[in-house]
Amino acid sequence: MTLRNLFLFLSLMLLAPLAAAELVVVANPRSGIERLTQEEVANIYLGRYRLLASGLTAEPVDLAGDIVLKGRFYRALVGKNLAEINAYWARLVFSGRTRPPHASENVEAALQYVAARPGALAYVDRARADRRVRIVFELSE
Amino acid sequence: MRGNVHWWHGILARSLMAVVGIALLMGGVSSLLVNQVVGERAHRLALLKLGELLDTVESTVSIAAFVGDEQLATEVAHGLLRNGEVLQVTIRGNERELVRAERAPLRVVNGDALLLMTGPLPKVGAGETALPAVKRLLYSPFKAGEVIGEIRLDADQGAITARVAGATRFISLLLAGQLILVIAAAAVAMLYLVVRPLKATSDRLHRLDAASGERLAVPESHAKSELGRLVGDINNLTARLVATIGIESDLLRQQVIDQRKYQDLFDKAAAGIFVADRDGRLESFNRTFAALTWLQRRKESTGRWLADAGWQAPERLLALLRDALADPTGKATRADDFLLVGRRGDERWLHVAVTPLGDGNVQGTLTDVTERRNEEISTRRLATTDALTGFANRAGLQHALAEITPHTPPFALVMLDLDGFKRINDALGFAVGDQLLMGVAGRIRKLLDARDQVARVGGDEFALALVGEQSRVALAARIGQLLRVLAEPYDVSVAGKHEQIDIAASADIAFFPPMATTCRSCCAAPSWRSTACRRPAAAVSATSSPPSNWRSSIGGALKTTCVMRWTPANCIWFFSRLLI
Repeated sequence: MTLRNLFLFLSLMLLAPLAAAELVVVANPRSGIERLTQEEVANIYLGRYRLLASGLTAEPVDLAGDIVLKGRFYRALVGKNLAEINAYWARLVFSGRTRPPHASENVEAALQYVAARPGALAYVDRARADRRVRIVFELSE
Repeated sequence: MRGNVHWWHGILARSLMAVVGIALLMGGVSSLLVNQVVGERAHRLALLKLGELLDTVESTVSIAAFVGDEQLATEVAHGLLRNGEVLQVTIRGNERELVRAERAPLRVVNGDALLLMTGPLPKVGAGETALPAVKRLLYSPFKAGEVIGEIRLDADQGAITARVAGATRFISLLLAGQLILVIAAAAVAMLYLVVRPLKATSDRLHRLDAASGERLAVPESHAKSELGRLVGDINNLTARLVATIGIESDLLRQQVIDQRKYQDLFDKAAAGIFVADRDGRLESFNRTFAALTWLQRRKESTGRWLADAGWQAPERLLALLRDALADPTGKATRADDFLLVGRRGDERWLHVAVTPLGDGNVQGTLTDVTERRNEEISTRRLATTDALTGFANRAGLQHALAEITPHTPPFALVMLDLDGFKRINDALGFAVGDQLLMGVAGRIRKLLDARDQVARVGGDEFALALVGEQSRVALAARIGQLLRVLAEPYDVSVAGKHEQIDIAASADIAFFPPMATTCRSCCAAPSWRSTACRRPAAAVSATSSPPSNWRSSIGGALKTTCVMRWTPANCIWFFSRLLI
């Protein structure tokens, strides 16, 4: 880990409570989606909806490298902790029909993934949402 | 007496049959109950187990339904179907059915017993609830209260039935085993406690000679049981029987002795003794009886009749027998004297007394009373005869008149009266009076028919009964002749000297049966002394009170007869009155 990353991590740790309100769900601007409800986001991320409202295949992205952010996201979205979410996916993976969201190492990778695919969705801090993506839902924690 | 008792009639067989019957009945009932109870319990357990199964898989199924993952749902369903009691699993999402899995009829139940279901599965129509089923709503794992589907488990009725059948069979077998043991124990107990001692006692009793006083042995260890009491009672009865037999034989001996005594008395009694039935058939009689009645004693005493003897009035003797038998007290003795006339005409008076014996026969005793009867007859003859004239006296006339009945042949009663006899008697003495009376009597006797009767009813008064129908004229002629004959002089000796005495007689007359005559015609006819009918009819009352002077009474009464229309009844009454 670089010094810069360390700094970032520490600053995030310190600023996390402040930044909590700024978690948003972003989509590809070409996805045809303007806004999503919390329920829609939950259904997409938990594998229930495979298609977006616009007809595109939904491709949600998890932040595998940022456990804190991931935890915050699921807590805010469905009120479950990561262990529960993992157990949930364990059962579904077992059947082989439904797959968990694509796992990205960091926010940048997630943003790139979303920018590259029209049906992709990711959750990031509001501050990191740039022009490559469109904010479709704001999580309140 | 009955011989052996067949085993199928025995107490043991009957008791065992009763016990087996009750056991079968109770076994059947309890099998049904067990089936019912076990069935219900299995049903409940099945539902409970299905619920538990659902608890186990609920969260996974919820996830499958949430995602709509048929694969996962199918996995879960197959997992559930591995359980022996689950027949069918249905998992539905909100929009569609995710999976419906069912088991084949061949399956393993309980893991240890392989049961082959041969019959078809019970069909479950719409709305029927024969199969126990558990339904549960599925909720979203992420949003509380949101229904996202339903899971339904159907239990395998066949498996439950098979399990129930197995349990029932097991319990029934257990019960049957127990019952067999109980029956066997009961049979053995009964055999040793009841049947064998009873049979031993029964056999001993069967061979018992009660009359010899033999006693029955009490079966071992039954001294205080009902059997012991029974044996004791039998022994008491036997003892009483023996005592009774002893008394009876004593009585019998006594009776033989008594009979011998009585036989002796019977044979040697001075009185004749007989036993006869109501028709006079002789059952038995003694030697004296045969001797008294001149019956020949034959060897056979039967077939002899009381009437075989020469009784003068056998029907009266039979009437006496029947009278004694008809007596309501059954103890009355009837007795009378009967005249027996022998073959050679000799007579014998027998006093016969009969007493009913109570069996329809009478016993009678005969005593010879000929002597007494003869004495009685001569005494009576003396009493009714006038010693002087040999005619009947007043008592004799009274006796004769008393026997008048409506069938008595007609007669005329003539009352003769010697006029002035008292004066002759007073003047010349009784001896001359007696000679005179004997003369009168002799003349009367000569003039009378054999049938006519004469009585001297007073000192100089004679009553003549002239028997036979005769006209008044003829009668008047007879009486006129009689009076004439009597009026002729009588030869008497007065103090040794021969004298002649004249005496006149007068007559009054009455008739039987009474003639329809009047006073006038009666009094007009005769030419002898007649008295005018001064007191017609009223004279009857004069006779009803006893007159102080019977002579005047006769005169009055005879006058009265002239005016009376007589009947046989008042004729008898009249004559009896006349003579008192």
